[in-house]
Amino acid sequence: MTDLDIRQPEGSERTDRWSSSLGLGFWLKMAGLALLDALAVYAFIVFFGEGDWIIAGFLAVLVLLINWVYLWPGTGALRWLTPGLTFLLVFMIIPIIFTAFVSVTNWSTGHTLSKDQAIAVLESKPYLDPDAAEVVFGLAVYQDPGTGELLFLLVNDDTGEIIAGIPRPASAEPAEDGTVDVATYDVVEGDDGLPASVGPFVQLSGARLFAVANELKSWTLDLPNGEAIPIGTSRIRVVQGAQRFVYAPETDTLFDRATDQACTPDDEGSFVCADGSVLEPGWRVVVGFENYWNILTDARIRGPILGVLAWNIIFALGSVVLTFTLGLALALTFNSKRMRATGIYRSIYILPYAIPAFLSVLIWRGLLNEQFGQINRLLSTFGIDPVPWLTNPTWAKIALLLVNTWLGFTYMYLISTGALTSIPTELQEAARVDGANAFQVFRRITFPMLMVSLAPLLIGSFAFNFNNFVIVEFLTQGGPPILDASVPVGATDILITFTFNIAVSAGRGNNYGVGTAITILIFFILVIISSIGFRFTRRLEDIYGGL
Amino acid sequence: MADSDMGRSNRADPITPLVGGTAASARSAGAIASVAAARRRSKKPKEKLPPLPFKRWVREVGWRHLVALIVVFFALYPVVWIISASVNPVDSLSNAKLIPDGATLDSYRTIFSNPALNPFMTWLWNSWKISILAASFNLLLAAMAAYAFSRFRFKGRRLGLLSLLLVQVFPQYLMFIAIFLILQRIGVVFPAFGLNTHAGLILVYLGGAIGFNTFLIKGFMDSVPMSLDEAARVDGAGPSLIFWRIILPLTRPILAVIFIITVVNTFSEYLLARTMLRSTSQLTYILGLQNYTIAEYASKWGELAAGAVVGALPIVVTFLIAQKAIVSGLTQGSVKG
Repeated sequence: MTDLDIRQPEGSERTDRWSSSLGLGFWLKMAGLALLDALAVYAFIVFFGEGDWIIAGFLAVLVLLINWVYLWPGTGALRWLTPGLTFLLVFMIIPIIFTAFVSVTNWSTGHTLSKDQAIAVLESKPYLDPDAAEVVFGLAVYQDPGTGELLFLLVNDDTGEIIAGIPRPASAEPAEDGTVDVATYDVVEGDDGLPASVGPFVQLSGARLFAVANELKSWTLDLPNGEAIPIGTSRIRVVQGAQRFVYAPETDTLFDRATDQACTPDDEGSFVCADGSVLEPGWRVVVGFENYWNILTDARIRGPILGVLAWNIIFALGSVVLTFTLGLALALTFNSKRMRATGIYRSIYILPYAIPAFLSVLIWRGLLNEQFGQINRLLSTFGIDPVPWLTNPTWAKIALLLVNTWLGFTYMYLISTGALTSIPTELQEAARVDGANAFQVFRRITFPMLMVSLAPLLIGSFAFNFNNFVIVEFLTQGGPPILDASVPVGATDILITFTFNIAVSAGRGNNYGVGTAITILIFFILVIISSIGFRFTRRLEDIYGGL
Repeated sequence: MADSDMGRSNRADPITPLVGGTAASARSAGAIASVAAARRRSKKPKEKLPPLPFKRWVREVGWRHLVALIVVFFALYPVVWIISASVNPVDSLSNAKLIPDGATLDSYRTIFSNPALNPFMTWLWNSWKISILAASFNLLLAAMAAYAFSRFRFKGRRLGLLSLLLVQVFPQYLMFIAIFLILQRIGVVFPAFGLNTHAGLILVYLGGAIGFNTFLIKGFMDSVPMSLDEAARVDGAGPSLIFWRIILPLTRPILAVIFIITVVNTFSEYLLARTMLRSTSQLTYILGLQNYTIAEYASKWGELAAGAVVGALPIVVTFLIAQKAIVSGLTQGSVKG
């Protein structure tokens, strides 16, 4: 029996394949593999067709590898690892690499496309060619008496063709197409062959037409391939649109036919014309370490980020110290043979730990409200004036630490209790016999021994709180805002909330490049924290490991 | 063999060698520690000590209860007030009395009805669906990987274990920008897995499946004697059968703990969900409540409080029950024969 060593599962893998290869599991596996392959072939064709070689190639290699693992004999452990590894690769490893890549690009609002896509967008932009032949249509003006909205009806004198549309003020952004289908409205025919009303719009004539005559010229109707501009109360000029930008691949320049000038690409991923104007949209380019350089040298970004970093460290450290102090004190309090009802206490203490943090933080936000919150009400019974918990920078920081203590002390209590019960009591007793007082015993014996097993967890807790997004976002949203800062930043922002605001917050545009650059900085900080953690653990084990 | 040594050291204490930055690691480790502590405690019944005279009792035990009660006040304070606010007929967070005058369940009625105006239940359903599905797949992938590391000996095994640890230094949500851009690309080909879909979000969550949890499960699997596998193998069972019929049932206690923790963590995940999900009907509870807070904070405090109670209740109850269930699972479920 011992010859058939248990550590040779490869051998057994072979038996398994023969014995169960026709079972239900086998067919399920084959069906899954077939489905995966079908989807992969489809995706491959799409990406390949779009010229996305990198994704297509990666996909092909990955799927071939998966097929190899499950179809080839003797791949043993890989069959169990592959599903998890695949997801780890696609949604963890690649995002890490991709984060690093984005951080050296200018990927941001206005620079989200590839160069080819940007050129395609620019080439599709129309302009009104002044040289093109113009056509004059008859114009009938309609107005909705309720809203005052106008409707133009264009009549081609020769063909009788009718185009209807809702105009826009000439100063407004051009719309894609302002025409409407008359057939969708209830049309009441009039005397002159034109409709008297179209839906809510009633034809204007006589005095009512003169009332709007002066402002008619400030309206424009967007047609699918041009514009229609009124040249009086009864005529309208239709101007054909034309392609404005023409790209010449051989010179890599874009010619602007509206202004008759050439536009050349710059290093920043935009076309810049001879007169210095920059065309939108641009495209993403690799800008090297410019994002990092800006973070480190540009005073407008560096200043806020240093403040954020300092508070981030204070917050993480303060959270660990406060929660651990309370948790350990509690564990020591309960560490007595005569203590009863510890189970009941623990069931209560587990509440802050069990309630999802975002829910309790929302609750705390209400409790800490300056005017109506229960905390200030409680304080007022002791004669303390209302505290501006969430609106004053210093108090907001204190509030965050207070709430995080509430959220985290249970965890520290649980791990401290676990560690306390596992250390032998002989040393403590011996020290007491030698005349040490309770504090000395704790300081010299119990605490160092606790730290052997708890230090790694405390460092883990520091790393967790360093990126504790939810508590900041839900309690203060990073606020109160620092008003004179050039980037959106608040007094309680930590790096991750700051990054989030820069990268995806609505309204200010998205700057993925700078956002990912800060993320990489966070990576470095985490690596430092973790390596300190590993080293610290080893050192403690060297000193106390023998005990 | 060095490899098997590593396995053994993990078995002795699965949490000590791990320095991770993820919420999952912090929470799981805590739960494991508490379970371990509870197990130790339940093993030795309290010894009967002679009663103390009152003065000595106060000095040696009484103060402990005093401290414990102060912390009870601290722990319960927000919980009690939120329940109070949820039954307050006036939508106000200032409430002089713990039990408000004319206490009513109207706030609960509001959030349970009218999904068009207050889509609490839609969000809650989304959250539970995503959390439970993601946690289930998560657990399966983690257990499979743990099985490979625990029962197979292969080239690069030690390196693989180490790399898994190192990757854990970077929590997945930090990569939200890159993941957003990747999902955007996937959505072009498979809209069902793109942005603003639950399926896409679940797939993303699976990226963190193997990692810390794999270590915990592997440590547990290592403590299942190899002789069981061997006996099964002699009877003709292959690795799949051994995994499903022997290893998984025997590691059920740790799987249950990890499942609960993963569900709660996924339930509370914010950054990735925020960057992926857009439309109101797709939001998870955490996103929905945040939107609601911003939109209605001043006026709808009662509903928000009720929403918090409804959202937290199942999880709190599970925690309280699982505390004991898992402890007994650990103490009784030790391998027999």
